[in-house]
Amino acid sequence: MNISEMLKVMRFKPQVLVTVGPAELSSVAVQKMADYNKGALPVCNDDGELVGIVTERDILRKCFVRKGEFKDKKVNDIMTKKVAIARPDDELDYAIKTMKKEKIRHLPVADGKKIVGILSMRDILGFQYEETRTRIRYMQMFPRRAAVSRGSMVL
Amino acid sequence: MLTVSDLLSRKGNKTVSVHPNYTVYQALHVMADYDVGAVLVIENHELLGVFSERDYARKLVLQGQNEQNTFVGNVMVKDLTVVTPEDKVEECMQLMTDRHIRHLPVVKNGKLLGLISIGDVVKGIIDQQRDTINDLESYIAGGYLSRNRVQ
Repeated sequence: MNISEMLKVMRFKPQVLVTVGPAELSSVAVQKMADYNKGALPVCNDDGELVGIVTERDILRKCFVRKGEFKDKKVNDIMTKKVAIARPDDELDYAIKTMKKEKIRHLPVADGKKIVGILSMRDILGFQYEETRTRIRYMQMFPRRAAVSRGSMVL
Repeated sequence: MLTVSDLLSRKGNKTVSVHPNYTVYQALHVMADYDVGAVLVIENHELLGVFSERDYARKLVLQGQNEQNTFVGNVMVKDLTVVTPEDKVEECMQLMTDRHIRHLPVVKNGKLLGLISIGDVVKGIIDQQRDTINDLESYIAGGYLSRNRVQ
């Protein structure tokens, strides 16, 4: 299963893509994260191109350690510029491996430089949870057949 | 079925904790030093709460409170969702999804045994599915199906 397929399956829960601009104040990013209950925001320029990512971790690590007003810091000052991303046709497995390897919980999905979505560890958890419940229901209906059927086990 | 105990045996039972009288400033340093997103708040071996990056962003930064004048005990999450080592990974998924949390302390008989994160759960499910597929493939090829995989 690749990422765009998974996102299509999850369409029952409409997702709002919340982004922030590099020139905006950090406090705007913090407010947006609170308003939309997000842990990370992709940073996009006016053309919708991904230029960085700003997360709760950036707020914590980069805002408090430095002296000086947090209020004056722009998103550009605290964001991570070298962003790990995934393509829409990348496999879900790749996305999970990347998150584990880079120790991140959010992976912007980009088509070229344009951002088309953001995949979070929570999305993957929610998707796995639905998969598990479906498989359990299926196995309860056809116990012996389910044990040998490969189809129900494939991600 | 994979349990919390299986997850803990893969990741270990070490946890990072602070005293409720730590200032938020001190707690943030601990989080940065240990590269964690949340710390347990413990006093006299008793788990009192959890303080996370999100709590910092929502409660301090948003409200303009000072890290050096605020105690962790006053801003931590006290109403904790915890799990036992016997709980199944599927229950962890449900709790994390329903309550929108990323961390679950593991407790048994009032004793703290470790901390499970959303990343641990996701990885556990993937590993479990991979083992199931491998077992099924060897079963179909004529080998034995190991008992504890068929669920």
